[in-house]
Amino acid sequence: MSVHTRTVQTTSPAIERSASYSRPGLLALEGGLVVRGYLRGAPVPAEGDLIFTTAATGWGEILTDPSYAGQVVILTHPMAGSYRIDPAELESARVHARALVVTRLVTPPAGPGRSLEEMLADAGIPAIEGIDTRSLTLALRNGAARRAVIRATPDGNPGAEADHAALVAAAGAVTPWESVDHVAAVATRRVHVVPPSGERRARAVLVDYGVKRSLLAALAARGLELTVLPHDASAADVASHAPDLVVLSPGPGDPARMAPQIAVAGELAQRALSGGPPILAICLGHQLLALAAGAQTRRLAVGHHGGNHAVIEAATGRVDIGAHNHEVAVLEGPALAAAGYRVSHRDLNDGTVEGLSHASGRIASVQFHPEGAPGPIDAARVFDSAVASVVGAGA
Amino acid sequence: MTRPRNVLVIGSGPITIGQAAEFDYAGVQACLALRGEGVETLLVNSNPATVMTDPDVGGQVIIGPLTVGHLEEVIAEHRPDALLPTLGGQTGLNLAVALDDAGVLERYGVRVLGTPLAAVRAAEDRGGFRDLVTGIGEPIPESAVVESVAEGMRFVEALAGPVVIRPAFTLGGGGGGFAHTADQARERLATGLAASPIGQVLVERSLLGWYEIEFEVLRDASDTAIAICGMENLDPMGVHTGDSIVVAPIQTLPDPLVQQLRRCALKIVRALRLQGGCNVQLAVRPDGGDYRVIEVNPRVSRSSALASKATGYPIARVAALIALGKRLHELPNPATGSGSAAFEPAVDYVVVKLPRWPFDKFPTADRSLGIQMKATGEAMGIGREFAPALLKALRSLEPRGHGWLWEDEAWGLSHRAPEDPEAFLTPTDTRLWRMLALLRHGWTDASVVSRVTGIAPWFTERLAEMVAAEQRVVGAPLLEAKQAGFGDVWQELRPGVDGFTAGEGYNDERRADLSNEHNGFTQRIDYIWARGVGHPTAGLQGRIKRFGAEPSDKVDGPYFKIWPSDHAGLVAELLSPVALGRR
Repeated sequence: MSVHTRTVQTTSPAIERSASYSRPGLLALEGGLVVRGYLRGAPVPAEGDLIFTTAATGWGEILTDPSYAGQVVILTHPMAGSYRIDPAELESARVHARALVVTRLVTPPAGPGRSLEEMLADAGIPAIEGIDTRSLTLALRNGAARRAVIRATPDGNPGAEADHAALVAAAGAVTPWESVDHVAAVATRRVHVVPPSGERRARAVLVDYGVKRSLLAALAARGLELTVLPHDASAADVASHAPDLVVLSPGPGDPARMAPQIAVAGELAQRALSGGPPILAICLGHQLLALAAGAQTRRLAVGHHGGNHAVIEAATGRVDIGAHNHEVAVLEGPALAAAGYRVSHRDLNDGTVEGLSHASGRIASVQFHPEGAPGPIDAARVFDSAVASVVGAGA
Repeated sequence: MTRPRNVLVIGSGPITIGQAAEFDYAGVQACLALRGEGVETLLVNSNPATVMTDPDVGGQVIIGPLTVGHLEEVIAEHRPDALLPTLGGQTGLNLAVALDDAGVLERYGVRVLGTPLAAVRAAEDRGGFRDLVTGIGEPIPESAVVESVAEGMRFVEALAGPVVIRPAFTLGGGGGGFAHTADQARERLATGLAASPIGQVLVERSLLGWYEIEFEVLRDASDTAIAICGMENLDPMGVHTGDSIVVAPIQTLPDPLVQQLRRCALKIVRALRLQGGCNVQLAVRPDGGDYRVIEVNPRVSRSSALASKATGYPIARVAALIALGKRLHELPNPATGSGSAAFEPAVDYVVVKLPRWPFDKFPTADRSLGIQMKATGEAMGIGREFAPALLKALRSLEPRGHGWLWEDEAWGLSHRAPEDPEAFLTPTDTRLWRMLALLRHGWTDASVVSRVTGIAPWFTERLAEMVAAEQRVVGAPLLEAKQAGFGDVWQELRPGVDGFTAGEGYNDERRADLSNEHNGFTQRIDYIWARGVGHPTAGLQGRIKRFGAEPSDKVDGPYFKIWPSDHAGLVAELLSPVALGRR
């Protein structure tokens, strides 16, 4: 019996559809925890790595952000889906997250756009509703293992311990997030050009590891004509477009396993320091650049996902609240300093490296997302200064 | 900046409608913060019946009239070297400006902490506000001063929307009013121009029915600016925010719009060069396609008190420390003592504020609500969803007779629909119950209530769900009533709920169920991003105590109760070593 979904008195077809899609389901973690809820969206099995976001809004952006590939996303805010999702809010052409875990999936008022539930159903992925997401978040923060499966409750046998044990075993058998080549699955395979939204001020090449639409839009809005190259582009490919600026994009997965991309990042950095175009790297791009410089990365005990993370800029002492979405962080070490990098941004709460800048002024990188989406764009001056540094350079 | 030795704090004066205990709350926080930093405080207030005038709080306390003359005497005698004017509400701010105008501050070398008085003047003065907001490219309600109908109509036609017409120099705004059509505008312009002794009227875009959003923001001397809390008024523009039901965080707006409004609030606080707290009020067109800045309060406000309680972030205390020159990132997280104060709480619950009106004490008063605030208090409820939060706030309200199920028999809704739904749902202190009664008796649905009242459909649909839940829980397991947010008071439950008798409460069996089986528990108001060093969720705490435990089992810090859905015991299980199996 659902306590949540069948109460709105309205004739909206979306709501009738959601009621018929709601059935008992289970969320099982590899550590042995099994939680009961209700399946919404597409009531199909799902599996992946559990992460949580503190974003209270922006479900369309989250689901379609390629950086969520392979992940089951817990929403800490308890009421999800309260407004209809405008296509302009989507960050890519498809949904990349594997599933949502929510306390309450609200049916939004009638109007243009899709409901969150419709979006999930169209994408063929489930949400599991009725979960105490605070407790689950606490468990993750306290170190619970993150692989999980979502399944419909076996008919007529909702509580059998044997079934639960099987689910826990299934969670333990999920392919680890770190061992999957997510970038190859989500990034573009063809070269394409994003025109500047106004007058062209400079030309950039963006290497796409799983870029968001909002990042492309933020750069285009600053007058960059962007040539987007696939993730396996070589340094020579990049150079062949004679860009004024090279952008290494965000993307999903563990950078440590991406040896070819690390090598290319290293070569681009070398070129930047010897007369080649300067580099702006974001999120995964930032991690690749650091790895190329000899630094190490590590999966965080608790990933940063949400729009309320505070980052302090070393040069100004100014703090910006911003959008974070990373499971992995760059470790500070002598290699970075030896390669000429200093930490330009740092998370105010856990000290995580959130940005690097090279002494030459030719290379800058940030771990966070100045483009927001969802979340604040308070630190968008990262884009302004990167563009300002190259405007006129290629003319 | 050199550190002040002795700071004059101006209290909020008498408790009046619109300016009540919330300013005492702010003043207390501020005085304690200043004195905690080793700064002496000199508190002047005309109202001794406040907490801030307790010497343990206010430091040196002087009870006397809040006038320029008296404050000058106090300053001459005690020679404070600084003044903190932004914590005593509008009274303190106005007096600081008056002291400056009278040359008192300069004469005695008293510097103003926190907010430059120029910023106060810019925010408070009509022309200054316009220059400030439009100067940073943010929109205010368009207006024009006109002296002929033709001139007025050119403005009205360019605006393409309803307007409000205010004749200049008339007592009580006589001759003015709203115009929704061109014909109405022409007529109102003519009567307005005739009514004005100087033949001048102000024509302004009407925002009646737009949604009202507020942000509480803080800024420091490093230009770090953060938005502590965004709040959404359930009642649209036309009802004073102090008379409106307020929900936090913002529930109905999409992320791009929330971010746009938040950025606007931060731009304003930066343009004011304010060091401290600021309240920014915005109106959003119901389709979300447009917005206007309607008010900026460069001080700790009534809404700051609500935002502080809703998020656990002590805005007034931090604002006082910023005024002393502290930077947000240098201050420890005010809620936890570690981490950083430069963070934005991301709450994982919903807060609902209900106004409390004094009409029971003034039976002949006009109970309609408008732009003049009439509430004298408020009650706040917190829950994991809107419904339990609203019901908790309702339970905290007095008079208790107005429970969830309350209806006025004079409405006659049990046998007929109201003749004029618009008149029936006009903003009054009983509009919430009127909407519920209409939905309960099936005379209308949520969409009609929204159309008539202008209240966002998201809210009326939640109310309709709650009314539907009243029926659904009859005969269902009691836990369902608890999960839906209903409390243990008869005004909220209908006869027939499992083990429940109206007027008597639960039978023994059910009472035992409630305390043992269903495992309701309390959760802390958390600051998601920040307890201790670490992570946004580091402040989260799960079960603190079992619901139904002894009342003496005080929880450390603010907390709220929740009823988990049907996975009772989850918390304990989650924290067990088995569940924590390492990767």
